[in-house]
Amino acid sequence: MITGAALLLLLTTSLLSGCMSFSKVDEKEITNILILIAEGRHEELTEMSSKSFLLDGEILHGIVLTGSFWRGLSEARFSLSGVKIIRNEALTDADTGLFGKTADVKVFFSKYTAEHSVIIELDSREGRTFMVLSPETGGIRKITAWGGPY
Amino acid sequence: MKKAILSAFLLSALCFPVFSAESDVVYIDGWVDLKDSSGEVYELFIGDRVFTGDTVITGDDGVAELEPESGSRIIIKPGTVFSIKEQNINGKKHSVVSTTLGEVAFKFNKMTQEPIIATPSTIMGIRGTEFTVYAGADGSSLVVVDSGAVEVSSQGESVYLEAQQGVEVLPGKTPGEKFPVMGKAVDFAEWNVDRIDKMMASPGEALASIASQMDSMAAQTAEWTALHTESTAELVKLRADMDALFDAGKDDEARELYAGIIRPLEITSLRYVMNYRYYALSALSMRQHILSGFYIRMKTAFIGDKENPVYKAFTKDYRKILTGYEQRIVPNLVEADY
Repeated sequence: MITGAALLLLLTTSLLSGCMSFSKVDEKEITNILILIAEGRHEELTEMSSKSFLLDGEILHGIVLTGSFWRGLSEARFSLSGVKIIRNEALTDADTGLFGKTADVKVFFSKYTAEHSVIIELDSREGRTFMVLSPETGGIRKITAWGGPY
Repeated sequence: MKKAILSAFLLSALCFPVFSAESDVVYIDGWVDLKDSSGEVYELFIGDRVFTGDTVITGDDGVAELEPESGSRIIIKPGTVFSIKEQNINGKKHSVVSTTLGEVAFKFNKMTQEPIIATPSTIMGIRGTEFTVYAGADGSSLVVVDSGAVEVSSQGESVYLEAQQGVEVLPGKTPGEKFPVMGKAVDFAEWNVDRIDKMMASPGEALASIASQMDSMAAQTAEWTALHTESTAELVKLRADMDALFDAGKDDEARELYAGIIRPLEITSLRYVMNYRYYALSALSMRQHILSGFYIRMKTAFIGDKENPVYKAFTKDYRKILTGYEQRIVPNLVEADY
């Protein structure tokens, strides 16, 4: 029999785990993105990208420019090797500075980034890379921003 | 002042004020997005309306056909950024349709009011005209006239195009020699690839041309902003004078001051706002579509060779442009513009 206190604990735990799910992305999803990049599957990456996308400090509106970025990586046969996930946690205001200190970057994060977005920081032989992923909506998670490799 | 109005630039964008640019969407094929004046981006459908401040962005397979008024057509081809803005020319408000990137065909009905075509410095009349504007990835433009006539101006010089004639305008330059088209269609994709090849072969030169165009926009923004600041200060003083007259019981004189001087100056001041916003938004569009596109090409081309001196020189100049943009353009933008 579940007592009142136990029920409260269970509810609290459920709520906390709900919060936890906002602040992290399943590592399989990150791996999947890296595989798509390595395999040059730029069309899928374009579809997975948000319509307003931040590349380093540049706001890209619409699929043409975002698509040209992913296609460009594909044509360069780019991939990240020896990847280690350094961070996989809720995006904070302090993280926006990773993409630059310009007005465009500030506006992008205040206007085009959804609450509960996640910042991914990757270390690789190519350098340090950042990604911002949107919270999952209807089973879909979008790539909102990409920075690096630096 | 006259110099301020007349100093020219063509942008990457030829800008054509027309009689009524707000348009119904009558045809869509493939993927077409609309970025509205608040910055929201969503898919565009047949039956939607495109308003002043909106930008239509077509995907690689996207085509949109707009009807600004019965019988006229604006056909936006794949890979194009097209927007409707406002500018005040000679005291009158005009819609300005601007092609920042890609290909747009214009077909104006002979029976409609004669539209005006202009770059920011020049007003041109057209009648019964069909023409296509190509805006290249490097900021250059190509105009080809099928029927009627169009005068194309850049950097204070003009060429007059008649049917089956075209002209190329390189960024920050005066129009080139006009050339005959002789009925054969111009292949925009081929022309744009050639422009991109030249841009990537001499990135420093291409970036300098973009910087020059953005400088022109920043200078225009500053000139109109200064006029606005001046008129605002004058309005503060005049309104204080008017209040003093009311306080002294001289209501008729106060009303006369308002109607004769303050009100006209308020209208003039609004004109200054419209124009500095026009140039600031043009610079934003240049940043978001031309400079960004160039940045993407250079970043991906040199992603495995970031120490290459060509790339290092590019990033240094690129940052310099961004610093200028941040100082001279950003103060005239609001969050909704992005």
